[in-house]
Amino acid sequence: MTMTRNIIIGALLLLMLADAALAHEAEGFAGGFVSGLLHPLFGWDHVVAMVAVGLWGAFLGMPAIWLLPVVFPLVMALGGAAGVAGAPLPAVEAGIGASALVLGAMVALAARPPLWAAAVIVGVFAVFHGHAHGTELPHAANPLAYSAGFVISTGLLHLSGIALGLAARWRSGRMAIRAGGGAIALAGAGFLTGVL
Amino acid sequence: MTPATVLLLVAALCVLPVTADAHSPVEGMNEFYNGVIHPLLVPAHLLLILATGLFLGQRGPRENRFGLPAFFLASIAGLLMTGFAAAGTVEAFVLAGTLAIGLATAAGRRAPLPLYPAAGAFAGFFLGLDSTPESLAGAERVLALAGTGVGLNLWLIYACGIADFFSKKHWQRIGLRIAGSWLAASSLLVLALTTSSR
Repeated sequence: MTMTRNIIIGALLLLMLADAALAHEAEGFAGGFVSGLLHPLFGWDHVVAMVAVGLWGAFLGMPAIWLLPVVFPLVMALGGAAGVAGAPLPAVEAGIGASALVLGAMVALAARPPLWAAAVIVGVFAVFHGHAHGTELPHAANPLAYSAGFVISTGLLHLSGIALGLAARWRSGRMAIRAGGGAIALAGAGFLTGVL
Repeated sequence: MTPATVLLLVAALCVLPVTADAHSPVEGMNEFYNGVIHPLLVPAHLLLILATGLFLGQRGPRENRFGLPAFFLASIAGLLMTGFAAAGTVEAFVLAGTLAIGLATAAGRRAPLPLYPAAGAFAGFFLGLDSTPESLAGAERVLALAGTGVGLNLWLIYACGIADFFSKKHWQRIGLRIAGSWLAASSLLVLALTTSSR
C-alpha cells in the first residue's frame, strides 16, 4: 500500500516538471525558419505563381524587374496580417490558382500593361498567397523565423523567375519564356478545376 | 530503501525550481560574452539591427554622422532602464521599428536628415530596453548589460558597413531595398500576430 502511494506521489511530482521560463522566442528558431522557407516550395501553386511574377517582371523590363520583388512581399505580408487577425478572405485557394492562370497568361501573351496596372494585378494575388501563409503563422515554432523564412523563399522564387526571364533578350529565349508562361497558365487552370 | 521511495526522491529532486533563462545563455561563456551575442540570438533584435544598419548605411557618412551616435546613446539609456519595462511589452515596439525602418529602406529615397538619428535613437532605446537579463543580479547583471551594449553597437556597425559597401552600384542599391522590404514584411506579420493575440 505504501509502495503504491509512493508511486502515485512520485508520478504526480513528475507531472509538475516545468521548463525554464523563456522571455524571448529564440527557441525553435531554426525549425521555424526552415518550415517557413519550405512552406512556399511545397505548394506547386505557390511556386509557379511566384516564378511567373519574376518572369513577367523580367519581360516588362525596368523598373518592373526590381519593383515587383520589393512590392510583392509587402503586399503579401498585408494579406498574411489579415489572415492572422482573423479577417476572412473567401476562396483563398481559388485565388492562388487564378494567380497562376492570370500571371502565366500575361507572360504567354507578352502583355505590357502600364506599370501601375501590373502592380495592382500582382498585388491582388499577393494578398491571397499572404493569407494562405499567414494562417500557418500562429502554429509556427517561432513565428518571426517562420515569417522571415517564407518571405525569403518567396523572394528567391521571384529571383529564379527573373533569372529565367533574362533570356528574353534573345528571340528564341522570348519564345521559350512565353511557352513557359503558357505552361504556368495551364497549370493554373488545372489548380482551379481540381485536375492538379 | 524500496524502488518506490527512490522514485519519490528522484521525482522530488526533479521538481526543484530551476533558473528562469531569458534566452538560453550559451554554456561555458561568461555573462559579458553572452551579452555580446544576445542580439544575434533574439530574432526580433537581429532584424531591427539589420533594418537600422541597412537604413543608415544606405546613405553616405553625412547621415551616419548623427545616426550611429544617436543609437549609441539611446541603447545605453534603454539598457539602464531595463528594470522598468514590464516583460513582453517592448517586443511590439521592436517589431514596429523594424517595419517602419524596413519600409524606409525599401523606399530607397533620401529621407529628411533628422530621420536618421531618430531611427537610430528609436532602435537603440527599444533594443536596450528589451534586453533584460532576468535571471541575473549584481555584478553579473552589469556585465551582461555591458556586453549587450557592446554587442548592439558592434553588430549595427557591421550592418552599416555592409550596407555602405553594397550601395555603390545601381543593382546593389536595389538589393538593399529588396532586403528592406523583406525585413518589413517579416516584422509586419509577427506584429499582427502579437497584437491579435492580446
